Amino acid sequence: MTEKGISRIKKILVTFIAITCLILIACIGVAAKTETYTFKVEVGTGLSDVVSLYMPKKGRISDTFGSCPTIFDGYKKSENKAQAINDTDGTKSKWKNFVLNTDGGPLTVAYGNSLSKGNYRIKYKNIGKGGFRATTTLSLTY
Amino acid sequence: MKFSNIRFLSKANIKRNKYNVSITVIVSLLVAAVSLISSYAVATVNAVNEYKASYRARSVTLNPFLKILTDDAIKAISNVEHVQSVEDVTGLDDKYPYNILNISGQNDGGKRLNKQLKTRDTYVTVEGLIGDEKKPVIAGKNLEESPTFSCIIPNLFYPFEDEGNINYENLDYIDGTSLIGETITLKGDGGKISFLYNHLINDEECTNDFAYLKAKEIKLKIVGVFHCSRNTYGSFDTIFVSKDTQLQIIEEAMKNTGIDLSSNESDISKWWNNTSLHDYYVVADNYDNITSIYNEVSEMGYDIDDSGSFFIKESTKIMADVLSTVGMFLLSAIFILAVILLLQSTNFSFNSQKSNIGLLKAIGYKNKYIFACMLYEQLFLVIRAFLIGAASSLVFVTVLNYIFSHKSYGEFIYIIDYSMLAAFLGIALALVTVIVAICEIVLISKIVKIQPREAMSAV
Repeated sequence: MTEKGISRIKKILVTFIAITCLILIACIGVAAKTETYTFKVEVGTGLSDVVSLYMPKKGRISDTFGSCPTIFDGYKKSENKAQAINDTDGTKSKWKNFVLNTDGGPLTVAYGNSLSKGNYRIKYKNIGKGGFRATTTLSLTY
Repeated sequence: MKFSNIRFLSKANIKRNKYNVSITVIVSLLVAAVSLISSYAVATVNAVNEYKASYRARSVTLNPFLKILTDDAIKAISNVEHVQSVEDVTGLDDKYPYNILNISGQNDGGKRLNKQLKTRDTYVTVEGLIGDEKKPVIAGKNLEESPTFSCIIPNLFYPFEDEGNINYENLDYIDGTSLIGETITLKGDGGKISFLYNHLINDEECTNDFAYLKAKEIKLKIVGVFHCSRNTYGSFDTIFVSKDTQLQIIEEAMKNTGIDLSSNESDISKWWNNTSLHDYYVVADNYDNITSIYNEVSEMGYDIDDSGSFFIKESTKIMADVLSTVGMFLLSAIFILAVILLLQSTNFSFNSQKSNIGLLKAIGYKNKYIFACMLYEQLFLVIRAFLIGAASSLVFVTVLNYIFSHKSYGEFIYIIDYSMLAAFLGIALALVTVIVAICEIVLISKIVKIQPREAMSAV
């Protein structure tokens, strides 16, 4: 291969790499942003607990409960529900039912995919069997 | 005796009155307190009362998660004391976010909005009315008197999705009345409509999951405008449709997604057709009876909420309580102090002028002219104080109105109507005038009793 040929290949390669980098940067720029927060949630049997957050743009709010939560009162199962409460306009999302087991894996609970921005509270309520204590990762995707 | 003479005689006494400054301060404080405390108390208490009377504040969610809701269960719950009705909210209690694609642009308001749609993202929610819920309009027609696929929008309409400003402060609201008659084209946010549907696990336990439908474009005719307030359900981005319209939209979206509601094969169609798996609203006859309904229905073993599906800001409730109790107590304290000071001032004025009164009587002045001088003196003091208090109240309210009008719509309840302020200022003026008149009337008998020779010999 001549020197001219090698130089041409180098130019093509540099151009390809530059374009690929630009595309990658553009993808990262428009990709959905996810913020995560870790909370310890403790809901006594028949009681409720609340965590607060703010959603900077419309998007999805979901909780991922960790494995093997602690369930109270000797139960192996905890029947609960949770909802997102919007403090800005005073509305509440529909309750999302979920069940935790002492030997269960991580569980994701979503409250809505297009929730409006604003100040929210996530309310967890125990409705059956024992209450629970678990670590949850709250994710805001927008 | 000429009015100018009465004024001349009184002015000298006003300057000598040692309660001059105290009366000015306390009476202006009384006037400011009456007008401001009363205005804000009325505004906040009215807001709380409006909230408590609203349909959604009295509606409590009933879920089938603990026990499914058979017809017998619904009947039993309907018979619980203080339950006004039990409404099936299937397809109605999810918040359905939409984007505005287009507005017909028949009038100026529509044309202006169309221009903005080209450069701004939109976000609105379409909500169906529930049961016998009414959403009265302030302009245009109600949904009850309109065909399906009609809608009503808020008077302060803000359908845009902007970055930042999560407290929605200082928004450039669109006047909803300028869009009456327009047809708005919407599509589910992200091309989808999602909702939670209930289903059975192992034929026993009931849980719920999200369903995602392919969104079709929908066209709604704007027939009316409702008053947008943080005290009632429906914010600046809420579009209300009738129950029939909402259910039709969902059914058409299901058809579009290939879900056959008549087949009863999918979990979604089973949920749609089986009322035992539905969610309900238990509507209380009175907001204060929600707790008793919750206790009784919970005893029956059903999963029911302990509060309404819509709530007012806690700070508004606190302000209403504080202003109506502590505020009234403060007002009473200032009022009593003002009465005491005016009595003292009147007495002081009389006692310090006994010799002058005697002299005036000796040279032929009648009792009524002497009374007029003393009355003028006290009225001058209170009216001057009233003007200071009124001016302070007006400045205070103007500044706060300006600040709150640039805040979130939740703070608009603190914007005071000037006619209400004027009414309370009128009450304050009447109050202070009556107090002075009563204090002076008490003095009449004392003035009459004064003998010129005795008064002058006391000099």
